[in-house]
Amino acid sequence: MSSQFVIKKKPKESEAIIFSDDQEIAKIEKHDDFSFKLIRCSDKKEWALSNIVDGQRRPFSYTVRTVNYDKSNETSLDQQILVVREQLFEHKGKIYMLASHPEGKTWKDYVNSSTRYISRLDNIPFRNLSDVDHDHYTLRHKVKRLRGKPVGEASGLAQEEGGHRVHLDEELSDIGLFIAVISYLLYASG
Amino acid sequence: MVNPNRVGGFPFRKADPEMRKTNFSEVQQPYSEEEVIKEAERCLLCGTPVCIDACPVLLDVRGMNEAAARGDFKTSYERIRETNPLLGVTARCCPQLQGLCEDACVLKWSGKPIAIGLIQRYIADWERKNRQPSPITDKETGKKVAIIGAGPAGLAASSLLSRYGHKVTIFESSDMAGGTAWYGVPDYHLPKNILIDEIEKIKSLGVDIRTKITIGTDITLSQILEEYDSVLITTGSKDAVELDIPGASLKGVISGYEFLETVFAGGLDNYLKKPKYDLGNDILVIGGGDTSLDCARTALRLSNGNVTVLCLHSKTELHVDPIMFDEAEEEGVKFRFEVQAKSFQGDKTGNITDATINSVRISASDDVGKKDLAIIPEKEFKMKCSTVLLAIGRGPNSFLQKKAGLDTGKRNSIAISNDFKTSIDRVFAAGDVTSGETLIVKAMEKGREAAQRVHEFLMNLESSHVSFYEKYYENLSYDKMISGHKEVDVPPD
Repeated sequence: MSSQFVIKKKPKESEAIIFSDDQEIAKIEKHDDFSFKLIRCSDKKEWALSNIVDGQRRPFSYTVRTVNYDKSNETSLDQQILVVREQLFEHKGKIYMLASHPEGKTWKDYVNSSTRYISRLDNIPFRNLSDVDHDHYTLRHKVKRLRGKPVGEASGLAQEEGGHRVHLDEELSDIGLFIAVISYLLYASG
Repeated sequence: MVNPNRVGGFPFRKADPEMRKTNFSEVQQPYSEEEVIKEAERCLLCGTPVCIDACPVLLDVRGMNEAAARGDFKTSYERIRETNPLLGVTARCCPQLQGLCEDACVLKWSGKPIAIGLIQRYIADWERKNRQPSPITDKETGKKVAIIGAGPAGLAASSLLSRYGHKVTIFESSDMAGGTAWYGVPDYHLPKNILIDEIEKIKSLGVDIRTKITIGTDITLSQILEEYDSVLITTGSKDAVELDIPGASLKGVISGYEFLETVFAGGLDNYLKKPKYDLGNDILVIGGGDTSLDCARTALRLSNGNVTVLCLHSKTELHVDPIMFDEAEEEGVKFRFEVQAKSFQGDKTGNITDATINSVRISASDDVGKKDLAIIPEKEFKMKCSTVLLAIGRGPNSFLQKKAGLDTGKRNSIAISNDFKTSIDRVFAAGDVTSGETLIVKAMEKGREAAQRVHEFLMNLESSHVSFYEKYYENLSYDKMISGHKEVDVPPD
């Protein structure tokens, strides 16, 4: 089943509120050191989002970490859920790209469109994200020329009435909330 | 009423195709002052400027637009000059809509990103008529740095190193500085007076550019190291990929890179007075990248013949600047997609006369990163040709690393560590020579980053390194700018 999210900027209440099927499901709050906290409404579970990836701040990059506190034992479990590095992320053995130019679309379709695509890169010459050499001669400056199969769409500015809308195919549904939030933080927070 | 927004699918007005294909005058037409102000006013001045994230040299786009919207072009210029010494060049040469600032602009959600390139171009052009002082430099350090290669990476590095207070000398083997920006970008895309002017401004910082000196031939790297505290190699891309098919050695089969260099390196006017090539009436260009378009459009202007580009990929999968592709089509350049040259045929004098061409089909492969190429035999065809220009890729310039015994990586690139150091002590390298051919602004990015590392090495600051992006993200206070606080220009560190 595909997933759809709408993110609306709410500077007075928090950074932004996330809706799905017209229900408020989570919110984003600013946190220390230029990072953010994602809090799910149903169970108050929290995740930390930061643009420090592989040891340094990077553009178009975010890590999502679960922060679980076991109060009874006063321990804290910190688990990395998702890494987006320079628009690329890995999920279930496949590499994807945010804000991509999908295969089969002409440049005019892409440029004139107000939609950004999330694509699965079946032909990227790396098997997993940690292998991606961002300075590789085939990849440098050509990240945006990598084509892939569109598996998601994003549109709209979060401060507009309609909010920032993210639709993802089923293959990304289990990390859909994180992808939607990162799409907002990277491209639509204004 | 002023309407500076996109003209159809294009982000700028262009000179008439029928007129412009007869000469090398600039294709892109600038915005007027009124249009620039109107366009800059549209900028949302985002709290998180994604446009800056997308710029390899972290150009202060937001700051530029904030000042330009008020008509304060002086402040606009000062802000963007801080990280970019080739403003007029990059405004014209950057593919802003392909993964750079305009592609990232949040107003792309409305289908109308800010025309950042055109605003930048206006500001750069304004400064040429209203000269501004050079950015301030730190006090002299007494250190001397030699840069080998005066292309975009070397020029960007020299500007920054000079501002750090070091004495910089660039050694360039060609007659002119500029590298690919000089000889590889046709004048209709980048008028050379723009580049010359920006190089002069870099020289006014105290950078000494010595041309017609080839390190490895005229002087050795070792000799340079005796005189300088550090060396940065930025010799770029040069080694063209060759086409190994029957007939490739016939007269009239020319490297596209050599073609562009011959036409532009000595100055276009000089070439037109004494042209070297007789291209004939049927010119084929083999490629599918930006250089193939440059070759095609230059050949069209020099010959007024029929020019066809043969591309391996389909139209939607081409790896070219889509704006330049449209311009080429408008000028009458023809394209054949999903084809591959099989062989060339010639006459008794050894001149090329025909090309035999395969039709191909490219499909996904089971192997990651690979595509299967299948020839469709029944669709082989021939094309008459008087000249073939080959533009199928270039690797790093491998001359110096072979001469000096530097460790190499893929495609004979210079192998470097994360801090741009090579295998020889005190020698650094950056840009295309370490990675292969890339954009002008990406080469500048690496030139700047390497310059920072050279500076830290010379001043024993390596342990306190902070990347430019981190400095920008954590320390650059745009709030101060917006609230009107007076900014004090400070050196990069």
